[in-house]
Amino acid sequence: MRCRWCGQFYREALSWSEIFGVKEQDLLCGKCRQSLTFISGEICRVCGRMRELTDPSYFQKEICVDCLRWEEDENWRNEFFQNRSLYVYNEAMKQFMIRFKFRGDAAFADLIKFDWKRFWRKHDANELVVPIPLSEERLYERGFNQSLILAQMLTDDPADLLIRPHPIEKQSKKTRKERVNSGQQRFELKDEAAVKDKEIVLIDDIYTTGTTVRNAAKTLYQHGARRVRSLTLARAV
Amino acid sequence: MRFAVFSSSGRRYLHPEALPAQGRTFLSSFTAIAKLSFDEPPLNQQFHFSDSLQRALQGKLLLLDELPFSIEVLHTHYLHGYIGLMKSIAKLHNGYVCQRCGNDEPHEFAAFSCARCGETCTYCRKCIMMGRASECQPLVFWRGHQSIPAIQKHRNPLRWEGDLSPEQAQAAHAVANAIEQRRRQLVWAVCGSGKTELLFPGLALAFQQGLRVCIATPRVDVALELEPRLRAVFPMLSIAALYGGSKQKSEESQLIVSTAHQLLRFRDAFDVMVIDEVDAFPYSFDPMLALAVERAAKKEAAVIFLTATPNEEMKRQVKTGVLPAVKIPVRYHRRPLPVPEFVWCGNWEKRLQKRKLPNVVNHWCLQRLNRNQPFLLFVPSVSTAEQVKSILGVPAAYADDPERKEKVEKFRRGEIPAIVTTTILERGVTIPRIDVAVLGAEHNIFTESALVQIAGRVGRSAEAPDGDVAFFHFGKTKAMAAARRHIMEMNEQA
Repeated sequence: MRCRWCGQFYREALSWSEIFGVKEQDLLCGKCRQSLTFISGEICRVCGRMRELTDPSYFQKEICVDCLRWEEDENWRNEFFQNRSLYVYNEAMKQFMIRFKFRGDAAFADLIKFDWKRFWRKHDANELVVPIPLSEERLYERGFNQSLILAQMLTDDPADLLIRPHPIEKQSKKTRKERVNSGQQRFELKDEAAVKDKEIVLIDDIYTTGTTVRNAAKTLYQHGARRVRSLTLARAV
Repeated sequence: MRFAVFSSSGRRYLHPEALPAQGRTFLSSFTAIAKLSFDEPPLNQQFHFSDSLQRALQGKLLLLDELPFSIEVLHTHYLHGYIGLMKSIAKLHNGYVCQRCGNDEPHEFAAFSCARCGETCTYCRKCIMMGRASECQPLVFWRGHQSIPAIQKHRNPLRWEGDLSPEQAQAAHAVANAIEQRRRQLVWAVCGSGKTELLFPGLALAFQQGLRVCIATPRVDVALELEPRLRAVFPMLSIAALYGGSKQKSEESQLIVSTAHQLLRFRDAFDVMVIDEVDAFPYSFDPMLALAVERAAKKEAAVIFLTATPNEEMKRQVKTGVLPAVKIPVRYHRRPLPVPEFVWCGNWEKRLQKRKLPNVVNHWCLQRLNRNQPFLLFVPSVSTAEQVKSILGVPAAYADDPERKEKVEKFRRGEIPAIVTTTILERGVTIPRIDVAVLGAEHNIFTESALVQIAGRVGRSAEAPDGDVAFFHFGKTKAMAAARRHIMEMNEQA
């Protein structure tokens, strides 16, 4: 069998669950699969960051310093927010993301489908599933919205409610300070009525500083959402 | 970008959705270019084309997205016949073919719901790292004449004092002749016969005529070794080395040393194409690279194939006279090629699991480590290389190894005594005074040509023309026997 990522041939070691059809056969070779690391053990109760991989000074009790800063900021302190991520955003995940998003290899989604759906079953709370949108320009450039693809694996009808105005620069090229303070991160709503009193789960690919999902949450809260949280594929260390 | 087709004097041309229709009636709806059939507009000699577009596009084959020009400019040039548009993904009755890389394996294509064409858009995953070739993404090339400032006629380009052996001189003459007549020529020369030098007179002739030359090699290591040597003998020339991750992007140079992959972005660019190690693993196994090399050359280009181990197809072409060949059975220092010794070493995989080398192999290595005799130990896989490295305590170098370049350099300078390696170092790498051994020579990765190449690493310099070659095996193979026969035949012809 050929690995659907690195193209190397590998020997199939079928597991019992694959033989009985409980689990589909893995499309990745062992080496590529092992390069992905699940978030596990103790995590920040707000952003889901893995404690074991973080410098001890970054945690105060069960919350990380980045989240403390959000909680201390008067613009953000009054709103509930929580994120959970499936994988650690390590070097391997970075390479996956480069090819998925920046080269446009949409088929990446098939390779993490099993893990991502299992993660969803653990976290599904019957909320409205809202993918983080791209700006129109970025959507044209890439040809697809990676968050929409991730959301479509979880539900048949993700609610495409948000609009993202055209950014001046890409998020991934900014520092934390620039991201947190940028006023460009405002989202707009397509349909205000659809949000009122709703419990919402935002879907995005990477949680880095949390600016994107928190800004999306803010817009949703401003229009009467009852509770907003996010699930992301990977969390930066 | 979506296109529709309109008719003009009985021919079908493309119109991009982003531009106003100008009263045209369309024969199709706006859709992905892959779903349309269309003709090429004739070249309008009176049209004043854009110099900057010519410079960006001549000799190239790029995705529309890769060109920093407005769609108005591109479309005007298309209508006047100066740029060509083609599908990057073609659908045939039995599946898809990527028009950039030639991929036609069904599992190397994927599809997604495309925000550009609003349809399910199939794309090629094989060349995805060069940008996405998809059904709604055209490939673009230049159809006007080419004019590259860096390409000039040099009266006396060659600065080289060396001598050619009579055999080399004969081959050099054949190469120059092939370049003069723009034909194909095979140079069948043993490892270490000085293939690079015998190109010099022919290349000098090409540069005197203002021709553009590409030397395509299968490996980054070879490109890295070749480029400084060429720079030294052709000092006035603009020379660039292109390989994955290379910093130089001077793609307008007159002489380009390139790995085959990088040539996928070229089209009709070179008057002379030299294909080094034409039988080498990626080239013979991967039709993508053969396509890249063929397309990068102009239609009437001279093509020089260099190899120590031509494949069956080439030998057949030589026999039937389709492909002129010149043979160099002897090294420039005129000493015979070292003949490999076969040594049975038992089930070495089992020994490695116990963290031991087979005794014979261990003895062979220790002997050389003790008397400071440098050697390369070839193994069939990266995991084996890792195992042997930790048992023997010498560095390993393989394809994904980020420090590979540095390790080979250190080995060359004598700072490390030996390297354990996979087949990546089998070709083109010249390190004086080494011995080589293969562990697991029966593995199918060690083909006749790979083994001949490996043996060819030994005794390359005139100061140390001899050396040992040992194939440690767990059962002799046909490839091993063929490799030894090949070497002995060459020695007899010499």
